[in-house]
Amino acid sequence: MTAVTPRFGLRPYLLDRVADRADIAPSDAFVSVTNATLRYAGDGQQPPAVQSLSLKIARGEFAAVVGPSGCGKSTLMKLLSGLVPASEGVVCVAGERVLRPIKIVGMAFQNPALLPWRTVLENVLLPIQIVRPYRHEFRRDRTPFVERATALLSKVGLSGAGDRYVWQLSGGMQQRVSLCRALVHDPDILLLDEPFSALDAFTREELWDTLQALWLQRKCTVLLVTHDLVEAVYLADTIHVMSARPGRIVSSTRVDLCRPRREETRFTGEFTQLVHDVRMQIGHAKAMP
Amino acid sequence: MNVHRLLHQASPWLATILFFLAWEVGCRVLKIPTFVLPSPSESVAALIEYWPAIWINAVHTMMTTLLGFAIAVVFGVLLGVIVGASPLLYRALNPLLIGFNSVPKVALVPVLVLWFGIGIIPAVLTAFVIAFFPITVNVATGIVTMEPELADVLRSLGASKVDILWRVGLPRSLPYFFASLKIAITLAFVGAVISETIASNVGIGYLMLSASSTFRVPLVFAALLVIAGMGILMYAAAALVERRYAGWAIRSTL
Repeated sequence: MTAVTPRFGLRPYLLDRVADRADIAPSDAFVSVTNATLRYAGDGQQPPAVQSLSLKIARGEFAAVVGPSGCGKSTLMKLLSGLVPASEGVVCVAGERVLRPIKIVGMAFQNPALLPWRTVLENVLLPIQIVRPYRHEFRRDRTPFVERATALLSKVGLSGAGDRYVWQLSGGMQQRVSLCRALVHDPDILLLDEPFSALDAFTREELWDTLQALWLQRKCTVLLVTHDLVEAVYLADTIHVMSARPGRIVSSTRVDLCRPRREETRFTGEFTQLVHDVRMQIGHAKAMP
Repeated sequence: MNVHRLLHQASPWLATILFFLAWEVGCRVLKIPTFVLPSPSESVAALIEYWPAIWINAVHTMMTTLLGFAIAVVFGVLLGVIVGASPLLYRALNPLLIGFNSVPKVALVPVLVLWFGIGIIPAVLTAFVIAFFPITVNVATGIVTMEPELADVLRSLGASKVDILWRVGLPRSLPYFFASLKIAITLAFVGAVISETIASNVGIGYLMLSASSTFRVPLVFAALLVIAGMGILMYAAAALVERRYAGWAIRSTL
C-alpha cells in the first residue's frame, strides 16, 4: 500500500484508479510489453520500428534501455505512453491495456522543449493545466500547485529561478526545468528519452545525481532511453539491450549496486565490469539481423 | 563608443534626410522639369497648399485601409489557425490559397466594382484580399512548426487538440502573427490606394489620379509622401503592439 501514499499531500487520483484495477492484472509488472510490433504508416517495405518486443518493468523500478542508434528506443517510449498504438502485441501499464495516451506519464526529451513565453514556474505548471482533475482545481486555486512546483524546483537546485524566462537559463538548467515539468503532476511512470545527451559531461553527471535523488524520494517507475552506458549502469536497476532495427529486447542485465550511487561508484571494478558486459551485449545486438 | 551609439540611433533620420537632400539637389542640378519629377520642396509646398483636400482624402484612405486591414486580421487569423491546426485542410486549401494570392489584385478591382459599385466597398475589399494572405501564412507557420516533443508531452497527458492549440500553438504563433501585421498593414494601404486609383471619387488614390491627369505633378508627389508617412505610422504602431505582446521573442533587447 505504500505505493498509493499520496505525495505532496494531494489526493492520489490516478493511483486510486490503478489500485482498483490491480485485481484484473495478474502480472506483478507495472509495465508489461508482450510481443509488440510497430510499423509506422508510410514506412513501406522497411522493417517495422520494433518487432516482437517484450519487456517487463516492476513498479518503482528504474529501467534503462540501450542499443545501437535507430533501433527504435524512442518508439518504445511512444508505445508505453500510448502516443502510438502497437500494430501487434499487447502493451500494459498499471494493469491496463494502453490504447490511448495514458495520462499518468511524465516525459522529458533531449530537447527540453520549454515554452519561451512562460517563466520557469509557469513552464513547470503546464501539465497541471492539462491533466484532469488538476486543471479544474488549478483554476480555482493556484496556491498548492505553485508551492509544489516551487518545491520541485528547489529540489533540482533551481530555487529562486521560478520567475526567470527559460531562455535566460543554461542548457543544464533548462533540462532541470524539463525534469520538473515531467514530475509536477506526480506521474506513476517517468519516460526519459536521452534527456542528458546534449549536455556537457560535468552537467550531465550533476543531473544524474539530481535524477537519482528525485527517484529515490518518489520511487516512481522510470524508463530511461540512453546511449550512454555509464549513465545506464549508474542510474538503472535493470538495463535492457535492444537489437538493431527492427528493435526488440535481446538481453537484460540486473544492476545491484547499492543506492544512492555516488561518483566513486563509477570507479569501482564492479561498475566497470557491468559497463563492459553491457557494451559486449550491444556488440552482439548490432551483429544480429 | 558613444559616437557610434549616437550614429546608430540617428541613422534612420540621417538616411531619410540624405535621401531627400539627394533628391532635391538632383532635381536642381539636373534641371529636371517639375512635371517629370518635382523636387521635395515643391512637393511639400503642394502639400501645404492643398492640405485641406489632402487631409480629407487621406483620412478617407486611412479609414478604408484600417477597415480592410481589420477584416484581413480576423479572417487571416481564423484561416491561419484552421490551416495550421489541420494537416488535411492545409493540404486541401494550399493550391487554392497560392493561386488566389498570385492573382494581381488590380485585376480584381473591376470585378468588385461590378458587384458593389464605385466607392468605399471595393477599396475595403481590395485592402482585405491583399492583406490577409501573409497573416494566414504566418499564423499557420507558427502553429505547424511546434516542436514534436512538446506535442508529445501534451498529448501523453491527455491534452485535446484545442488544449494544445490554446496552450502552445497560438502563443508560439504570436511573433509570426505580429511580424505579418507589419507586412499586412502596408499591403492594405497598397490595396486601398490601387482601388481608389481605379474606381473611386474620393481618397488619396483618386486625388493622385485626378492630379496627374491635370499635370499637377507636385500634388501627386505630395500625396505619395502622405501615403508613405501613413504607412510608416501604421508600421510603427504594429511594431509597438508586437513589442508589447510578443516581447519574449525579441531577446536581444533584454
